[in-house]
Amino acid sequence: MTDIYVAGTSDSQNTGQESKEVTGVKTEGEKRSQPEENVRQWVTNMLDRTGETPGRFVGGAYNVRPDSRFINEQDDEEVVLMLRSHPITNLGWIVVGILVLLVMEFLLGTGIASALPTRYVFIGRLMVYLIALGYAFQKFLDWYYSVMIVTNERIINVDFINLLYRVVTYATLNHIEEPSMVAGGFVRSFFRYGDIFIETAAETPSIQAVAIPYPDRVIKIISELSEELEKRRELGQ
Amino acid sequence: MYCIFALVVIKQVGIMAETFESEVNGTVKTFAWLHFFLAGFLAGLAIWL
Repeated sequence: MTDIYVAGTSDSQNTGQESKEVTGVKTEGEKRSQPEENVRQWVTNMLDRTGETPGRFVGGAYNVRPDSRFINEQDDEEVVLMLRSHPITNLGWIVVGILVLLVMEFLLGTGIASALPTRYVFIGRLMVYLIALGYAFQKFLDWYYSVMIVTNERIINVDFINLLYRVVTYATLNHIEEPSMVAGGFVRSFFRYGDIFIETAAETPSIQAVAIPYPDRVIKIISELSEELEKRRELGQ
Repeated sequence: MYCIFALVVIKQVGIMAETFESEVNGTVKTFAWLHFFLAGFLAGLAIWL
């Protein structure tokens, strides 16, 4: 039976507890293996050192130890951070969507379409509402599912370029060279978000995460994870 | 044409939901289908009217 690992809260007393049900696959009666428990414990210790508490913050853009699995996740891997662009970056398309509807209603109110049969105007109005809804839905999907995931071993960046085109970039923590951040401007400083650039020593291109909340904290966590992974590998763990 | 776009959105949502587990995956998939049915209904209504 597949050993499904579920990341839970940072309760350090929660050891040896049976795994919970995930997506309908029952794993009751199966305990976590010792290596997985060790991974969980050192992630807990690292988060305690950096002052992070598990939870969902900034409208779901900054998630510490989220209880979710991702594609190609390994058994002994634990998600430490799941990051999205700051919700304020969605303001553009929200305003555009609302403006389109307002402009349409205004134009219809001026009687510009009075020469057309009523049923055509009705259908046209519904179509504009549907297109605006589709546009907003598409933009929400792009925001919600374009994430950067930081685990105890890797960084995974998922970008949806357009419809049906997904770019997933993986970088192991021991191949990271110089994580850096850029956070300038009034809006970015006020809302505390910025861009993160991670250069790697491998052939994979550098990873960029745009408009991530608290980039300074993210860099700190990545550095801590990288150092811890290096120490554990030197110890043969 | 918009119905075809709505179908593509359904496929896109499926791909996105595979990326990671989330509590909104079910809601998003439902909404994608609802969007498709709305598009189909509107197309049918336009033809009928």
